[in-house]
Amino acid sequence: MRSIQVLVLSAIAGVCCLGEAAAQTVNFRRHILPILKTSCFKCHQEAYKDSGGRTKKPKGGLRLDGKGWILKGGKNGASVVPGKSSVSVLYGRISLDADDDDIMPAKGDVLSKSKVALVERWITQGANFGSWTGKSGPGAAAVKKAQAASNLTKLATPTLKLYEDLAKGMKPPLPQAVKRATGKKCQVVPVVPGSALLRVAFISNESSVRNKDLVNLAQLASHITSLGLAKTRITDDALDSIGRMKKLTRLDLNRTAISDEGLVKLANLTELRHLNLHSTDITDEGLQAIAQLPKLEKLFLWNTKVTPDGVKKIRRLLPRTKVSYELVLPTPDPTAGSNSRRRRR
Amino acid sequence: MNIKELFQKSDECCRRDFMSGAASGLLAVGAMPVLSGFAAAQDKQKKQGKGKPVDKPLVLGPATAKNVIYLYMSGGISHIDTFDTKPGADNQGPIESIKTNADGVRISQYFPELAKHMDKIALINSMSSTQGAHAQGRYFMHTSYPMRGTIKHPSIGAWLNRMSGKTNPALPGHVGIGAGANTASAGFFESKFAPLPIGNPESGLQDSKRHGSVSEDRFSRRLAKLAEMNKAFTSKFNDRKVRGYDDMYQEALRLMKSDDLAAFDIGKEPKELRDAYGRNQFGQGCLLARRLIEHNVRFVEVVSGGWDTHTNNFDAMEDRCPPLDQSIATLLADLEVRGLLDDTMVVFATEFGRTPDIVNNGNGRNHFPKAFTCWLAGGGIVGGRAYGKTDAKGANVIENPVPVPDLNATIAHALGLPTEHIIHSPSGRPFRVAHKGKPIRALFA
Repeated sequence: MRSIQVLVLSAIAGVCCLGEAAAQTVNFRRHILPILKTSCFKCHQEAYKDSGGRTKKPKGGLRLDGKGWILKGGKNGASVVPGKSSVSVLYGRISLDADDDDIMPAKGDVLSKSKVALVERWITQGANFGSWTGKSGPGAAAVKKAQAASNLTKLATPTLKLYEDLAKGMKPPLPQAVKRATGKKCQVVPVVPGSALLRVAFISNESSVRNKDLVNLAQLASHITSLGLAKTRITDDALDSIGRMKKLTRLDLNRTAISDEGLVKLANLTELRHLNLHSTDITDEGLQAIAQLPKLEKLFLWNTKVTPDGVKKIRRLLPRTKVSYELVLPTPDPTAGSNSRRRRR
Repeated sequence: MNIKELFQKSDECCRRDFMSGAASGLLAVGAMPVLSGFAAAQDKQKKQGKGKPVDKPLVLGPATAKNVIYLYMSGGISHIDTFDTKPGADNQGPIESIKTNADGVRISQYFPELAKHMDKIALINSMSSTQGAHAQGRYFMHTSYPMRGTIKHPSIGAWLNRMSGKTNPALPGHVGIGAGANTASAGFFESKFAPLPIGNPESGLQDSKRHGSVSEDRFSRRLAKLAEMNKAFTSKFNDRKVRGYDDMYQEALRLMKSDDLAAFDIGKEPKELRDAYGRNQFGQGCLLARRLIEHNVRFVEVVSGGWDTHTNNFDAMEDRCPPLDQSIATLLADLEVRGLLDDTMVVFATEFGRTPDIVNNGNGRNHFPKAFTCWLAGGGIVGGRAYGKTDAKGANVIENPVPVPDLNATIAHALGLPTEHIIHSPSGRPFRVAHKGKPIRALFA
């Protein structure tokens, strides 16, 4: 019943919005071109000879007298990125403070607020030029390149790529389940904004967290890709449910009371890349189970009961895994911080 | 109770710095009596002006780093004598350069320990700033904006907390350690985003426990009384500065009751580790920074002073670099072994470099913003290399120039903060996390 209400409401809201937007659709020829003509073209058009015979080149390599030129932009990148006013240089420059060094137009009056808003709306609505093309050029490839560079706001590291691959075909987690699991001590967030995969971490007052505090995570088990339990009071029993989190790529168990027996329960976590066990009581024996993890990239074993021989062995079994075991500290400099001034010879 | 002591130690924090620091960080308010009228006027203006721009909803990007340790070399550390050495050049002076564990990257002889961690570090040898004076340079480095009379810009740590929020609700999200950690500020953001100043890392957070003679019950009754007394005032003057006071109390109370308070106590660390960090303010500050990051504090700045080597450059380098080397090398090793370096970006920054030419009777270098070095490690940065280049003298950037805002844009990018997102100041002016800086994407691959 409630969902029907929501549906009806959103339908009504949708129609209203449509009506409003339609009434305010910005027309390039009618609204934007006149602004460009009066305020921009003088400096940003095809090179020409002025009355004194001097050649006037477009400033900043930027021409605004053709659709292609606008989309390609000048040396600061695409002037207009359809749909994204925030990365569109044209809007960026006209919307600056009047006293900003970079405000456009550089000479003459700044644009009125309503004109700036009009440009913003036009870009947000998709920068439709209508039938106008203006002066021809540049090539489609140059335009595409400039647009792509302006859209390049995403990071592309191997880890982020992995999250993308793992989330393929997944449905988002149930909002109620996320809400239930989230608390003062427990953070539940998408591992990357918008992802169906979750990062769960106990982030405050960890030493009060016990096995029972993990109960609410069961419903999210198939979504959790990163789980931070460092410094909590969980025990081996908690690893039963964790061992079933198939998408787990990162698990932090450092400074907990887990033992070798618990690690056996992690043997099926085939996606695990990052396992932090520092400052636990695990021994060489516990590493047997870890050696089965095919994709492990980083393993933290500092301050455990693992022996140097045990580390050698695991390094041999998992040659691609970076095992962090020793903390090599610089020898303290006896004069450091004493403020004694050692004169140069 | 050590406030008196803190007052007296003028080399740590002068009294005025302490008062204003405490007011903006701990007390979470600005210069209240002077500005309150102004703020009220602004609020009034806000209500009248209907056309005021409104911030768009913020959409965070993917992040490779969660937290930042920002090591700031106050005074302007010489690039030629540290991370952009010019072996064989006339202007190099007596300092030699050594190999590191990264192919082709050489650094000054005073950093043998950091040389062992160069595989984690991406040097940016092509920094350049437009500001040649200390206060202006520091301000620019922290905020990406030149100092203006009309507005105070937030520093990068405040932007992080404003845009992406705290992780640990019990602790402050932004901390500044050491004398001179007063450049960072909340700017025009609400004062809760300002760094909590820690003058001396050894004494941690002062006055953060309930007095023994006051019972829990009595304490809460006092608070209730306080709230009652304030009620009329807070409802009459409901502006951001007044709310700032309330935020401050709430935050302090949360902290007092939290187990996480131990994060501030470096006395809990083993002696050998404390020795390895270096028994000096900066070294112990780095250790405190690690503890805070481990407790999910998002941005910790540690300041090392005394790099303004106009007349004593070579003596100062010999004295100051080895302890710096030791502290930072220990920090990187410690972060790595705990698995914290993956999520934590370590930033090494300064306001400018120093003149390539040796001046002032052959023993000094003056300010030089045109070319200098900063570096990044961890939090998604691929280390073991030098990005950008200066010429044979270290005087001009000749490859991949990195203006100051680009460095901040790179930090923001790693943290998932969209650099194009606009936040308006209370007066309606638009600002961005790194001004118009562009992130150096090449450092992440």
